Amino acid sequence: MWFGPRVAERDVAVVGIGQTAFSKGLGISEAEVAHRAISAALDDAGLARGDVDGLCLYDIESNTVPEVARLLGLESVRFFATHSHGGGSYCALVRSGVAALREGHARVVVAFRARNRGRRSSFGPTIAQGGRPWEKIAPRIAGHYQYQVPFGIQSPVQEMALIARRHMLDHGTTEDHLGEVAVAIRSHAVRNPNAVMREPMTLADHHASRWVSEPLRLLDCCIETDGGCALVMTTAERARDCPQPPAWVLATAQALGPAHHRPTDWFRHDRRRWVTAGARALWAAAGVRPDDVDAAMVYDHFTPMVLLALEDWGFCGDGESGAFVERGGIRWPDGRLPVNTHGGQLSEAFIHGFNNLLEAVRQIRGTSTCQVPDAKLAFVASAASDPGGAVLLAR
Amino acid sequence: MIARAPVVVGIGETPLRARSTESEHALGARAIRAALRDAGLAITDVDGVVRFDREATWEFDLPGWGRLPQLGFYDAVPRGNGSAPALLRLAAMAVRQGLASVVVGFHARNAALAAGPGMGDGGLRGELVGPAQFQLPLGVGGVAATSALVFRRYMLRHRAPARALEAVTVAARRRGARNPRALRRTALTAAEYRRSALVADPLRVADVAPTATGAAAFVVTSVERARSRHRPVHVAGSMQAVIPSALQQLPEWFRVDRDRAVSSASREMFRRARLRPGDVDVVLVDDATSPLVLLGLEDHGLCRRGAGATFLAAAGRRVNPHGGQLACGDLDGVGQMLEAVRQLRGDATVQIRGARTALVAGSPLEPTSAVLLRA
Amino acid sequence: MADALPPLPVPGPDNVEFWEGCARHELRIQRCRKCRATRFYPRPACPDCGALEHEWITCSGKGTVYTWTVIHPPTLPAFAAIAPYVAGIIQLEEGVFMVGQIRGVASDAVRAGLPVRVEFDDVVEGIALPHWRAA
Repeated sequence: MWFGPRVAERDVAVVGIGQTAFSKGLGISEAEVAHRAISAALDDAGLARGDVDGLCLYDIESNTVPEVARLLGLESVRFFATHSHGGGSYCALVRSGVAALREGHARVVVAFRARNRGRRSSFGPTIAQGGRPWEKIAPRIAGHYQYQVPFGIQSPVQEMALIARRHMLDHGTTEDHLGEVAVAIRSHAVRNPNAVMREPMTLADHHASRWVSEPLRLLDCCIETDGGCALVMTTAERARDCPQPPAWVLATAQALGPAHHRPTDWFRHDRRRWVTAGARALWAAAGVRPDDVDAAMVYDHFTPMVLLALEDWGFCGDGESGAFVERGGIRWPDGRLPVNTHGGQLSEAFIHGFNNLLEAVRQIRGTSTCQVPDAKLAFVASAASDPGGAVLLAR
Repeated sequence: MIARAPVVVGIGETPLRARSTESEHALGARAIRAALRDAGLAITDVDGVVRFDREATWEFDLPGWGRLPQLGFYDAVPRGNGSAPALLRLAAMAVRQGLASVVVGFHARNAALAAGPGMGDGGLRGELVGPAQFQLPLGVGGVAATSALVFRRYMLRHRAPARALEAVTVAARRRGARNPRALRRTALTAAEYRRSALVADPLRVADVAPTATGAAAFVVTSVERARSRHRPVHVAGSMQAVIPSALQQLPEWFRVDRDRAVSSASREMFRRARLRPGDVDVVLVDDATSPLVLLGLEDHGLCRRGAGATFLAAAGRRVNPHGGQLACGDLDGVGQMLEAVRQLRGDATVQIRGARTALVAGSPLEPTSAVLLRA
Repeated sequence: MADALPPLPVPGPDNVEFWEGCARHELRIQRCRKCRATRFYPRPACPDCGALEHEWITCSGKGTVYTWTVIHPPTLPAFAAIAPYVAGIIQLEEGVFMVGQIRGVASDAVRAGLPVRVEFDDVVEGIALPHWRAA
């Protein structure tokens, strides 16, 4: 059964990236956030609204496909697809857009995420109006959440804590390993003027931060922010005329995974099987190995998922991620694999991972604030949960 | 890379009913299992999934999902009649691009028991945040009222009589009467139609498709992989076009040149498929309401703008031969694709003889899509 | 409010058997008739073989802690009075996993494999929630 992407070619590239400022409260609507991010990306690509004929977005965007199109005056969109999963889907948007470009369904695809979740943005009682979804839970819940929320597992960090605890039991992962992830990624954010959290963090700081859901502390959690990110992809033909050096999409993959939102299922099935299949497909399609990767942007909504992603996609063996991050393994500039060189969701901003894609593009362009010298291959992924996916960008 | 020609090899559905005590998960599972059986495939053969984004059943809810070796592709389209054909478009794209080899697409609906994966709506019901806030609270909501406003402009523009709707609906009901699967199985005379109650002038009750409860599913694979006993149905072409949603932002629908946006995307679809509207043997246009049939026929170049009623009169049973959604019930547009596949297999209840090419067109009232199928 | 209710489940065709069982203080789960796999949470089709045919069995109520966390404030109002509290995933004798609070053990004494037994909280008329007490 062939399920991998086609053999790697330099035929589709990211030619534009754009973002808003990131903060704990931008004071503008998600519609405006989307507008600003997409406009910035189009400017960066040297393309006009009329050029856009493909749109890939989350269905959890508060702005629907026709609203976004009207907002930006996109009148020629002839391909659109949506995704439901949070951090599991940001790479899938790219995979879908790449497929559309290769099919000839579109010539210029915009993918984006606009997300106001800063505490100051909680301006309404419904989930669509910003703020924390789990604080807006209805008094009656249909669907799978009824088997956890009434019992006291109400939010993603608590679901993650259950997974992290098990990882510690099974593999000897420690609080220091979790802390190292947070500290390393914060050290990258310190150098990034766009990051929301720029205060240096030590391991002691991490361990002193308050418990949220043991074994996870406040500093194991992503920050709550407002912001938006967008990117523009096109084919090689058009990429030649764009002002920025192209970041070629060498390969993409998707992987089934149990949802962390369904703790009853997480341990029930052999997750590793799916993960291995996804990883194998990715590296085979790209014709490269994990060792070849210069920088990795991994979905870091919570520190344990960074560890899982490193294992899932083959950077280290099952259970070995703790050792991998020890002694600065993921720190720029000296670690063997700098991870989240912009500060990720933990310290730059929480844009459901979209900022990870933009940072990977910067690494390829050579414009990151934690630039890996001569970076040729940037990896972007989420853990194989939810389901997950990955993208490999190349110079 | 060798392009893999995508074919529909399996379809499955539950009966469409007005009401059901089964959950959307149960209905969806039944339709998916039926489609896989029809395709001669097992759930463990599946490595791709396409669905509506607002769907109760997600990838890790599929029957037997725990044993899937992998899922190389999963994607979604905005839920609704506009994007139903786009489910097939995405599935075909995934197969042709080698992202997955067997893709399941499906939809289940039971509005009374809808239980999505979300956490609930957070309390205050009835709060609107999008542009719908500028029409729903004013009493302009739903497909009937929206269609009425759209059709009123159509009548003015083309000097069409309100009676054009009667022809659409009476014809649909006549065909539905021959279809044991239809929800509305009685034909309507013109007099009966005219006596029936107005819903949103000039639309009458019969001009609005009953919303159905049930599920439908399909399986797409490459022609090399096809093992089904049926004639494989090729996805020869597809399109999407973003236009405003008349249901959410009606004034915008009139402000943009949506006719041109849809028609030009349709022409490109035919061109890429190396087909012409005249090649189409059977047409499945969305008929959530009867005026949409006229718009759909005109959007896809089957006739000139304003000539939809004339075309329909001449085309006879070739348009929505099963009675359309007006007779069979509306499953957010997904049922139409299955009828197209049946027609091309030679397996339909009201069979169009020699049907080799079908057009399935989504609702013209919102971002829309269409597919061209060939056997 | 001290006695704020937790968000409550909505019984529907797929899960009414489970919730009615809970109301009677019985823990009932599905078992696939085709491949005999047990499953939770209730759903119409077997995640392993996809079959729709299933039966309901009554569990022994015994299980072990598979993983856990100690949840600190802020929490939903319903849990504010007991926070910090221990919650976890329990593996039942019958093989399935369930989420619930873990009681009768100090939070720093919880371990994987800790034997627990179900206990039901009667929350409102017709709804009882199964939680777990160290056995």
